[in-house]
Amino acid sequence: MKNKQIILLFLCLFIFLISGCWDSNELQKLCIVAGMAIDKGNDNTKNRFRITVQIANPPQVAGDSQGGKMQASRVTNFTETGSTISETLRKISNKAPGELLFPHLQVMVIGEDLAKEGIADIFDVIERDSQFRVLFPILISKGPHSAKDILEVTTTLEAIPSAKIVEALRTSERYWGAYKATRVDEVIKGLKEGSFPISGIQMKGDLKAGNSIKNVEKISPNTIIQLKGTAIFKDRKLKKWLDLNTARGVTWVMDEMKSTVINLDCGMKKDAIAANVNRSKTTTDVKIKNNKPVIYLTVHAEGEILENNCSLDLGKSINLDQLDEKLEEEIKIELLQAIKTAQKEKSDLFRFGEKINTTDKKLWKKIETAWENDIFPKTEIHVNVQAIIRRTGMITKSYR
Amino acid sequence: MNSAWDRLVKKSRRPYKTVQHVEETEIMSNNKGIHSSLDENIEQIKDSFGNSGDLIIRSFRMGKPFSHKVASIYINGLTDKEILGTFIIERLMKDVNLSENDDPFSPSQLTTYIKEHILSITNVRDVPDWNKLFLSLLSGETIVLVDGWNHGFACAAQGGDLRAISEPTTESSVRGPKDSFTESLISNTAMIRRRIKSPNLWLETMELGKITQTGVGIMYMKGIVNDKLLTEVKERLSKIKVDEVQGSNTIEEWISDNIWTPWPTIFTTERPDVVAGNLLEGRVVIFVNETPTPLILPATWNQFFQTAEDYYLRWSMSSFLRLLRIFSFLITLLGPSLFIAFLSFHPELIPTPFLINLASQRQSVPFPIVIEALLMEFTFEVLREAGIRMPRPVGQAVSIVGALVLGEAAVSAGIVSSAMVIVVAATAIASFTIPHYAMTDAVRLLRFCMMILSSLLGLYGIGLGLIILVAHTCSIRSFGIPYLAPFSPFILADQKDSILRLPLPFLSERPRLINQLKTKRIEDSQTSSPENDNMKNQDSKKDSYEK
Repeated sequence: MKNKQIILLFLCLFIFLISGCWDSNELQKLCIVAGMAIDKGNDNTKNRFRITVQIANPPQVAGDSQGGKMQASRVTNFTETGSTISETLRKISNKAPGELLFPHLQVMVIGEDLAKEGIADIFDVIERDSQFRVLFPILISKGPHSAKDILEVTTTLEAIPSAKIVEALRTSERYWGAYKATRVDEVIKGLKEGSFPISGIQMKGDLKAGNSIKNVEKISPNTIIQLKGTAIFKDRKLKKWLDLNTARGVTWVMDEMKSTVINLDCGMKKDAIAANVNRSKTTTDVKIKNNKPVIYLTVHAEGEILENNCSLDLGKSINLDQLDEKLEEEIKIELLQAIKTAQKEKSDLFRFGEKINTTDKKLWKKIETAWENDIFPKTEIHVNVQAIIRRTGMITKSYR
Repeated sequence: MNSAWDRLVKKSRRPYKTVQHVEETEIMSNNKGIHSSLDENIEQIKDSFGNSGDLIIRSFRMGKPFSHKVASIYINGLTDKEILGTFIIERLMKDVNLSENDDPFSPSQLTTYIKEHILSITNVRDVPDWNKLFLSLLSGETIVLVDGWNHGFACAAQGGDLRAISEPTTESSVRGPKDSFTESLISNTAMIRRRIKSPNLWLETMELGKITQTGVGIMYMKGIVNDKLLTEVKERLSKIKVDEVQGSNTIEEWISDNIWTPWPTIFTTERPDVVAGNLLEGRVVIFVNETPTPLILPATWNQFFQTAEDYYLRWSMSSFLRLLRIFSFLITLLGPSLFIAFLSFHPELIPTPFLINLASQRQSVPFPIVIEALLMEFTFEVLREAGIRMPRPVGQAVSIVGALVLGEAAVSAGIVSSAMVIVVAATAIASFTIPHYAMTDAVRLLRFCMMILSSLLGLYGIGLGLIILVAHTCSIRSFGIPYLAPFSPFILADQKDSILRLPLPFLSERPRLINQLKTKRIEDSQTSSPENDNMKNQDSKKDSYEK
């Protein structure tokens, strides 16, 4: 009896020893992948993808430069081509010093060329492989530069270029509202229908100058990367780029507006008053009329006056009422522009289809196949905006 | 209730191994009665003690006409010589004219006379045989032998140098009383007597240790304590058949339910107020002579995270502090192992900027993270041990070497990363918040087990380790009481004074399981809130005025 217990104890110990440590890794031997760029390869068989990974160089990023070390770049990019993503990533280990660690991936940039051909093939591995998280944002590189080039621009203020892209995206989403961060899981959700918006990113300036640490030594860098445009997808293929107010319209429709600034006219003076919208809610209602869905969008927006460059007296409620109406008008125009473009491109990127499905299942079953191409472009969509300006700032009268 | 108790106790009882005492030399061998001849007796005592230098035998003659031979025998250092001189020897020598009617006293008359008229000392006992005589002598009593009488007197003149009552060193308190136990059993029990003026506070004394004959006192509140617990304690004590009982730890190891556990299952303290509180909760306290830390039993896990100070602070503060202690217990137990698990198995769980920072720190460290952690923990344990054992004047040198060389320099030399130093330091500081030393020690050891588990299996290993630990902790008992009470078994009423401490008016009942006889400790009329009481008082005053 006593022996049995001892044997059991040893067996338990062996379990630990046999199974232990198989996935243990020393931190300094891992290559922390901060960003990934996927471009179209040269051909369609052996080199379908060209993948660039951006690996953080911890001592340089952490600013822990010990004496005598040479000043190295904060990140290192490795590029490889292959026909599947997993294969390509494995090939990178010929170049990288350690195992690639993907959970800390900040952003994935997809080349415009690839996006135009369809992006469905990228996501299988991301969801299948437990290494990847599905919560990082995805961007499309807007031509003429490839996605690889986007990740090759050194940046200031944020040590890792990928992190800088993500931060810019977050800030823009929060304060400007035109370009939103589309996370991978959102794209995956939209893959079935094939229509979704993804924000774009563009490089401005010289490619060679950007790929050097000298770029960040300047106060005004030669080369920068910036968010630009919203790509509309249809059938998982990039169909059209939206920009400016139309791009913001998409955000309004999808109820993702957090805060933005809208200029309002003041009498004859165009864009004289700046209004900050800091609270907004868009509700989508579907009503069935004559076996056809009619969509009603209602926007409730609240805002405040940030800037008043005309002589309008903001102390008077009648003036404020007028401004409310103007704000409503401006917002409505943006929504309608976005909807019009989507209808024109036959891309239900707002996922109205889902709403119809929840409202009337039977009808949706009938129209599902024909929805995007035939019905959606002709569907009536009504937009109703209710905006209120709550505050006028610290002063009432302007200097005019 | 009783049957439940029986079951609990039965389960916990471990088979006792008693050391077979080989009687090579019978220490107090001489069971022959005391001689009537004084000279022979003195020879006998001298022989038995091997003519030890601290055995003082003062022989003299008393009484005028008959000159009875008398001797007082004591051990130098154990007696109060002033009492001995004034109230025993002086009285015997100086006094009396024994020959009032020329009739010689027979020895028995004489001894009665001595006992009843001469020895003006607080306690005088007859000692009829050698065993008792030696025991009294060795306990510091003074033996008076009279020629021609085959008994002796044991006179209570104990004294000698004892440590004075001082402030507690390991369990200090800001607001509470500042006395702590000393080595003397009697002065310790007196401290309790001062606090609980009740005849129900009973003390049973016995001697344990075949050679050392150490005085042991079992103290309890009659009427509150569970009698079965008391019998159990006495039974276990009676089974200790060893030569030496050196302090309370000997007894603790002999009577504790399970010695193969990392947890302490008997509580010890050096504070009289803690002992008094525990007695009133129905626990049994074992005092051991020459030990300033009595044993309190049964003990629960919870108890080791409570301090006397908890009852002297406001309830909100003490509840917060108790939570803090549990939290730092977890840090102590899991801090380094979580760090290892995160870094070597789950780097995805660390926020990216922090991960990059850690990776950069570890760039120059040559060892795997486990080795690094074990190295640092080991170094800390060495420092800690050195801090306790080294002579005081060297202290500064060690702290400088520890703090500067092993902390700062090890990091810049690239032996360890600075994050690891922080983790080890945080763990060390957290371990000091655990109020009870035995618990700290338990966690110190368990921490290493956890580190090894996490280095093999990551968070999964920590999970496994915790499951095993909790299961084990649930299985052990302290004198029949489940160790994890009141959490497992869950006792709602006892939660009021476990992790939190509610205001005292809410603590109307003594802890269950430990006590079953008299559970209420607040009279029913007292449980109403203070406001109501005031109202009542005012009302009654009004009544009296009207009358």
